Amino acid sequence: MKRLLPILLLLALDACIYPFDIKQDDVEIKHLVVSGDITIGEPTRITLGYVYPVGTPSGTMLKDYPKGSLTIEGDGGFACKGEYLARGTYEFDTSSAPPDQRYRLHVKLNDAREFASPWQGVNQAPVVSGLRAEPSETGLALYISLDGADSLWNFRWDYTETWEYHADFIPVLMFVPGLPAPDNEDPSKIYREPDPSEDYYYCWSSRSSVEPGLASAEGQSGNVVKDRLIMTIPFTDKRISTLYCLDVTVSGLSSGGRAYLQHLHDISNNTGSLFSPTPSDMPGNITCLSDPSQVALGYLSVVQRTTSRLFVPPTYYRQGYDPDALLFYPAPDEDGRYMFDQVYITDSPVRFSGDAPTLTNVPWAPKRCVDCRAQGGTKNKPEWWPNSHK
Amino acid sequence: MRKLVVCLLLLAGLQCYAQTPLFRGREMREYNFPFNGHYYWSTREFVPGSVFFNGTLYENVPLNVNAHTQDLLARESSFAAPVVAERGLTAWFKIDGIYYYNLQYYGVEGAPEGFFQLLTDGRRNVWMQRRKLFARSPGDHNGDKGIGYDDPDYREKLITYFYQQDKYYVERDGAFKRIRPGRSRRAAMRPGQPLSTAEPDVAVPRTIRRSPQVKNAAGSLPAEWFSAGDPSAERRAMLAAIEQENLIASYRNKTYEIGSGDAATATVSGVVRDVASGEALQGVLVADRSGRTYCYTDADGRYSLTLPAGENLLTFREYSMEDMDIHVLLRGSGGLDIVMREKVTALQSAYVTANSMAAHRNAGMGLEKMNSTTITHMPSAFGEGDVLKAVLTLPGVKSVGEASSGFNVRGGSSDQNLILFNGGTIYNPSHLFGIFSAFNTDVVDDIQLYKSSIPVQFGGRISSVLDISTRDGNAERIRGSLGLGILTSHVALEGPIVKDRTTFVLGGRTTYSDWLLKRLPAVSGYSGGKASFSDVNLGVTHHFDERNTLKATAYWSRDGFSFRGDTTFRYSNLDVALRWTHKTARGGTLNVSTGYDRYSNTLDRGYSTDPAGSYALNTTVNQGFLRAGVQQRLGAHTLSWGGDAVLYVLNPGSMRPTGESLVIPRSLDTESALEPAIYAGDTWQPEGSPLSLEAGLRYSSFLTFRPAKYYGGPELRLSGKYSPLPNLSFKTGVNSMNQYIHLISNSSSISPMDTWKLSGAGILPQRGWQAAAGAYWTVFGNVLDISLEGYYKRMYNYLDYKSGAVLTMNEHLADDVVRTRGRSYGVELMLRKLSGRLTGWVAYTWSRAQLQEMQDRGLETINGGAWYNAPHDKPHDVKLVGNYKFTHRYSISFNLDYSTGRPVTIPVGQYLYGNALRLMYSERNAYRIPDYFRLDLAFNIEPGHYLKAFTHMSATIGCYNVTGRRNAYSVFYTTSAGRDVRGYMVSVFATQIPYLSLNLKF
Repeated sequence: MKRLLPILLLLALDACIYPFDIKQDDVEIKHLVVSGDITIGEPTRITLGYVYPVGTPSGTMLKDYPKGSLTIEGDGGFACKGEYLARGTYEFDTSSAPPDQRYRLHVKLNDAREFASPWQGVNQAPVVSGLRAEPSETGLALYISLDGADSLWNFRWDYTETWEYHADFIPVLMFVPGLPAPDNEDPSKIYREPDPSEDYYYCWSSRSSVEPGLASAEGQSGNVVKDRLIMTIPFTDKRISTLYCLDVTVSGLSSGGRAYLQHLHDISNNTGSLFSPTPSDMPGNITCLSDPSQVALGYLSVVQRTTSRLFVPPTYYRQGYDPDALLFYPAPDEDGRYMFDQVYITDSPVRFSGDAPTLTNVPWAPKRCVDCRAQGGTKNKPEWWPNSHK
Repeated sequence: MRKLVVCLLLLAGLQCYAQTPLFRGREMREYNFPFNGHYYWSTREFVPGSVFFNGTLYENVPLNVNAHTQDLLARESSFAAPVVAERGLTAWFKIDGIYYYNLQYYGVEGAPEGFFQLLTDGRRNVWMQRRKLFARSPGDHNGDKGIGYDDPDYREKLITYFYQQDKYYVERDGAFKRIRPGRSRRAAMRPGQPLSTAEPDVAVPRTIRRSPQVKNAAGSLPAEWFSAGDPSAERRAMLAAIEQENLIASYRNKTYEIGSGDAATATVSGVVRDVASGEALQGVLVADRSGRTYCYTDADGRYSLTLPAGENLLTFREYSMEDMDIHVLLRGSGGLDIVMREKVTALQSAYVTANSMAAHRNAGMGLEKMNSTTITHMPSAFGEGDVLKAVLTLPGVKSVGEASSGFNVRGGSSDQNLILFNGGTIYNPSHLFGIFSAFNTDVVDDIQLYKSSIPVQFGGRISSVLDISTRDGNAERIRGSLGLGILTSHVALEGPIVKDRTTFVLGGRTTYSDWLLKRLPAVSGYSGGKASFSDVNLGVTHHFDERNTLKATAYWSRDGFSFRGDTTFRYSNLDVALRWTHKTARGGTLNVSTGYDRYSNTLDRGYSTDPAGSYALNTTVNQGFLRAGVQQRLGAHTLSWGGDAVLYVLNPGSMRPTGESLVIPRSLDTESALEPAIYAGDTWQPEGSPLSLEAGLRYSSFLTFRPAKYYGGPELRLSGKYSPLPNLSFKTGVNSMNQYIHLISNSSSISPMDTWKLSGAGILPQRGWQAAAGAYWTVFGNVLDISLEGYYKRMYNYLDYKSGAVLTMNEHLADDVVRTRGRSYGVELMLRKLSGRLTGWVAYTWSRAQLQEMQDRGLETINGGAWYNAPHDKPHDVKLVGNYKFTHRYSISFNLDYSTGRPVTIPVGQYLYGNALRLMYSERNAYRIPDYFRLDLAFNIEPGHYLKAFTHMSATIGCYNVTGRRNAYSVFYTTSAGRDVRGYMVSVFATQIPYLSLNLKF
């Protein structure tokens, strides 16, 4: 009994969160959604969208967009019409928009409804006072420090990660798929040496943040935030295996803008705990001019942005062990040949004899271990990438 | 004479003085169970005899002997009740020609108390004393001379019986010595003739020591025939037990004559105490024969009842005490103090919230009572008896979830309940984020929940009053208890400080839950967390005299917890109070109390990676109070009037930097206000009338300082009862309340992040009223109570939050909250079985609770200004609470709870915003989580009633959520990695939770 009780209790409190769904009412909600900020000093991109019922496939959402005419207006006379790009996104040339004006977005939909954001001054760009990586207990932690300069107290950052990585092995022979099973064991019929154009050892990959990072210095004596965690990358993550680059774009926000984004984040991610606020929709700052009863979602800010870049060498990378990476087949029998879409013979140091590699004295590896593209990257090396890998 | 003053002083022994012309003695004690051989030999009959008392010889007096206490009983023909002759004045008596001498009266050295018969064989003289000793044990004693009785409620017979013991004494070496039992004694002690059958000379006994025969006889006996004869501890315990039996029994089946004169009515007043501990008993119903004239004892056990002169029957009822019926002959006003004994079986079966017929005795509605025994035996998570969880088993009481703080009464919010602990206000009644309540059942005496007819002396909240009081300490001796559970342990100690004057009770609890949290897997969400709590109660009661009592209480509790991360929550309650109770010369009661309450919560937000943003946030509620009230009975009226004042000083938020933080120290302006109130009420209960009324008016005010602002208004309390039959009543009532302090929260239940706010600019007082009606029927020989109550309730200015509201450190908090009006209505049906092996109740409630924003804020108006469900709106609610008693030691308790799922707000839409998928939520509380169902079972083992045992161990083995149902506490949706919408359900107790708790009393 002494041992039993704790076990029972653990069972009792373990996994107290379960997948669950409630059948929502089948009603059509097609409120307008306006996302994006007016970015002064660079092109602005604004995306229009609709609200869809929960569970709507993303394919459906990506097909149906509101159409209309969008204009960014400045109270000093600046005006710029948006150019439709794709998927509801409009681009505006606000590169030369003067920062001392107040701006708003004016939307005229094809169904004659008009929406607008309020007139707002430009939130100046904060200064990135620090962007650094430091090992922590759980991985490599990336931190950002920001300085609001003269009058900025609320901050937002988005980031793009780019990383170079390589495949696990460089192949010396490539299996030729599709050949009939040999009657004899002549290896030359079933493999070949790779072509130089088939160098798939180094790859590059990139992705952008989904959630904006938010910070506020309101209530502090100084409008700075120091060492806010952006993310933590596990030490065994391939992103830091060769060279990693973090590009952070930061902007300033009004207090209302930050509260809106924070609320949006919270009701999408931080609900359900014992003390979580009851979720509710927070009104944005897009209003319908033609019919005040119409609801529009979104909070549009006017900002200047700045970027900062950080390279991380593979100092902290710890190679993980993939038990399926190497396969030792005595011979490429018929089953073995068709096990993978393409099979490579690697130049593994493990060699069973000093002779030239044959099917029987080298290990085989699946394609994903020798072709870096199989792990999501491409051979498209950014122009600005600092090393000479190909 | 014809004037009997019954004065029962407990602990010092029964002191019933009957002023008869014959005796100065006590009221005779009588046992209330059938046994043979208690009185002189084996009969209860009084037989004529003679007695030499106080220097006078009385002849032909009906006499008997209490062979246990060695008292001479006498009955004067003109007085029905026998009395105990004061032994110090009794020299001897004679029954059936045999003389019995009080040797102590004659100064015989070493002689025990009592009466002795002289035996002689003509050569040797021996004094024999015949006693009846008390014993009580389980087992079959029917063969033991046929004495004892079998309690039919017990499967295992519990035998209370007397056995006879004869003791023999001789004078040896100049001292009176007991002869050891043995064959030699039996051989030597053949009863012979008494020394004399003639009328004894008073001086004769004094010559005993000089009697050569006695001296010779003693000298001729072997030395081993003598023993010290000192009463053993066992015997002392038995004497104590029998003393209690005597005290109780002494009241029964006798008529007490009270007062003198020819008044048409007279007032009987006195104090009711527990016979075992001497504690005053609060809440005892004292009623006349008809049950229509009644009162309840106050906190000091005092009662006062005005009745028509003449014969009457007074009934004393309290759910955990044995019933007491006293015949009185009222000639004028006088006193009658009573002691009651706890029901032995109440340890398991007192699941009854009020005694039978209680609902028919007053016009008040919606009162639920419960005692600590009831609470302790209810199955609960982790085996810890829990006041709030017990309250939740009552009809009309709900909560938003099983691990939530607070409760909701008849559609009210959790901050609309006034929770009083010894008069002090408790602002957060929970430990461990709602798993345990903040009250230690070891020291809790009674809890009373007023759901509808709230007494006029209470105010400040618009939904209900939960009045919790702690016990007085044991007045007899130091006692204690110790309880061990899986997560918590508790201890209590009580006893006298000054004999018959001052008692204390001290209790404490703590937890050691960290061990469990550390072992939880990461997926639970609580792994690596820390949680702790503790609380301490202290109560000291001092009785200055019969009319003045002072009680000082203190309560302190502390909670702290953190779950993975840098954030630590802490909160604490502190309450100290002093109450003086004075019984006025006219039979009224004056209560004056004062105290200080403090509730403080602190959030330590440390950013290990961002020391610049670390801070500690604190909010505090301080209040001092002074209350004075009088209750006075005047004929058919019971008047109560008084006033109270509460001074609030709130710190709505202060933030200070911690460590290297750059956070600016900042404090919101302190809020302070005074809430005075005056009230008066009357309960009109005419004798013999089926009608009764209760009416009261309270005027509450609220004056804020800086800026000065005044609010106030009357509060009405009105209820009436019509009882066409003694067991059938119909009631109706209406009451209104004002509330000037508000809980600002955006979560469903009370959380440590919530802020209390006083009414002031932009925040108006909450006002509410409730109308209710009900029918109450007691059937099957007062065994089953059936009640049906309906109510309709309105509330105004209840604060709900705006979307995205910032509730902490907000200087303009009023801008982030909205005023709502509320409505709730429902019907509560309850069947309650009060006695027998199976006790308990089943209750069904159908109710609704809805809110509506009072302002029009356009698109931002909650649900477009339509009514929406309150978070605790659960229309269907079924509760079954019961206890089945196998024997007096073994019982099983069960608890079943079903309710409609509570309302929630869930996402109904999704959209892309930036790169992420976002959620759009439904109208507030438009959906519901799945229905709630839970069954708990517990097996209770009580200690045996062995009088010799120093400690008594009880144990409860139980299982919470026997069916292992995954009840949803909440549901939530997330956008996983910003791309997929996924729904989840949080279940706090998702499977069976077995538990074992041990309790030791000493």
